[in-house]
This record gives sequence, C-alpha cells and structure tokens, in this order.
Amino acid sequence: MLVRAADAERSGTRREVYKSIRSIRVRMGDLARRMWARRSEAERLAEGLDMLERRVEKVTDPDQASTDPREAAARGFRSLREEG
Amino acid sequence: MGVAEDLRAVLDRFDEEETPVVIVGGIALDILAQPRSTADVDLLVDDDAPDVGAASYAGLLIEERSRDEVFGQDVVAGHLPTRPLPFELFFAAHPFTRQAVRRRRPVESPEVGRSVPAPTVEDFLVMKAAYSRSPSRSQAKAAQDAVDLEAVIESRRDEIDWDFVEEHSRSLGCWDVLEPLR
Repeated sequence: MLVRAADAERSGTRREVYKSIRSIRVRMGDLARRMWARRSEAERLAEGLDMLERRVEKVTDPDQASTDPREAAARGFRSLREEG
Repeated sequence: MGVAEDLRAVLDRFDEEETPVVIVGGIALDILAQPRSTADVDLLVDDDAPDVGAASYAGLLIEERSRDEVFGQDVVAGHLPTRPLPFELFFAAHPFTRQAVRRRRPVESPEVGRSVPAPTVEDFLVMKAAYSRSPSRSQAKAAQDAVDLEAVIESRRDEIDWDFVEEHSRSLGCWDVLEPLR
C-alpha cells in the first residue's frame, strides 16, 4: 500500500494520494483493533490511563506552571476541558 | 500522585458514600475495545446532583455545571483539590442510565489498585449511539462516536445481546445508528 501511495504521489494525482493514505489508515486501524482485542480489559485500561496521564502532564508542563498549586491545577483542568 | 491514584481516590470516596457509579466515555472504550486519547474521566452517578451553589461533591471541587440534553441529566465537571485531572459526573436521571449503573461490572485493575466499575457492552453501545444522534453533537464528535461504536462492535461482536441493544436503542430513537453496524 505504501508503494501504491508513493506511485500515486509520483503520478501527481492528489485524489489518488488521498485515497491511498486513507486505505493505509483504515488498514492500520484494523491491525490496532485486532491487536488490542487480544489484550485483557485491565491491560487496555492501563494503557488508556497512561495516555490520559501523558495528556495531563502535557497541559501541566512545569515550564508554564504557577508556583500556586491550586492555580496551576485549575489552569491544567481548564486546558484539558477546552481540548476535550 | 497520577491519574490512576486520582481515579482510585474518587472511586473509593463513592464506595464510602455507598453511591453506585459506572465509568463511561473514553475510559470505558479503553476497557471494552481499544485505548484512545481522552481528556477526562466520565462517570455516571446514581445520585441526585449537588445543589446549585455547592462548591464540592464527593471530594471533587465543582468547576462547571451543565445539562445533558440526551438523557435530561445534570452534569458536573470537577477535579480533586490541586489536581488537574478533570472528572465529568453525569447524574443518572433517565431509566436507561439508571439501569446502566445497576448493570455495571467490576474490572480488576492493578494500576488503579482496586476494581473499576465498567459498563456492559450493550449499555455502552446504546448510550454512545444516543449521544451521536444529539442535535448539539459536533460533527467531529459524532464522527468519533461512529469510530468508537465500530471498534466496540468489531471487538465484541460475539458477545453482544442484540435484542437488548435493539429494544433500547429503538426506544431512544438511535437504532438507525447501530443497525448498519450489526
């Protein structure tokens, strides 16, 4: 599929490139789904919580954090709410 | 203290208060099918919403209040003091969401250090389909709903009680969302 996308890109047909990229994304989604289906509920939950943890860390980056923990927490909370 | 500890603290508090809750939203999708990025922890709570003007509920500082127009429920967004993780609490006011809390099942989580109340596959599908049909749902969120529904159905196809799903989604006017995915 990657070869097909590269061919489409060379041929210069934007529509073909988009179609190829979309099919790659669909195929990758299917693979990820099958991979996760083999894991336990607890393992998937752990991964989901880890992803959420990373997102929380991103919006509460210490470089932007206030020295007031309440203010920092409220700002992080608002950022996450706005993103969500 | 991280996300898992925050979740444990909030679930422990609900247990102490003997208030049944079930996880919904993105974290429920993690449990049922596959992890995807989410911004908060959504909980369906079998309780009355706190009075207007209340500063806190179940240890969470109240940040926002709103209304869930799909099930006619009060919604409160809040966080633990000095913690940034947002929790969104949906106060079960509809017969369907109340039974979804009752049908919750425990998932043991070593990370959280306790059991986590998860929804049944059928309840998740019906609620997700109902929200996807909401007129106020953005196109982006409705598209995400469709992807989430497909992921759960493909992962759990063999165990879904379709009679239950059809009966309840028909009564909520969202069977047309699920029927093509059956």
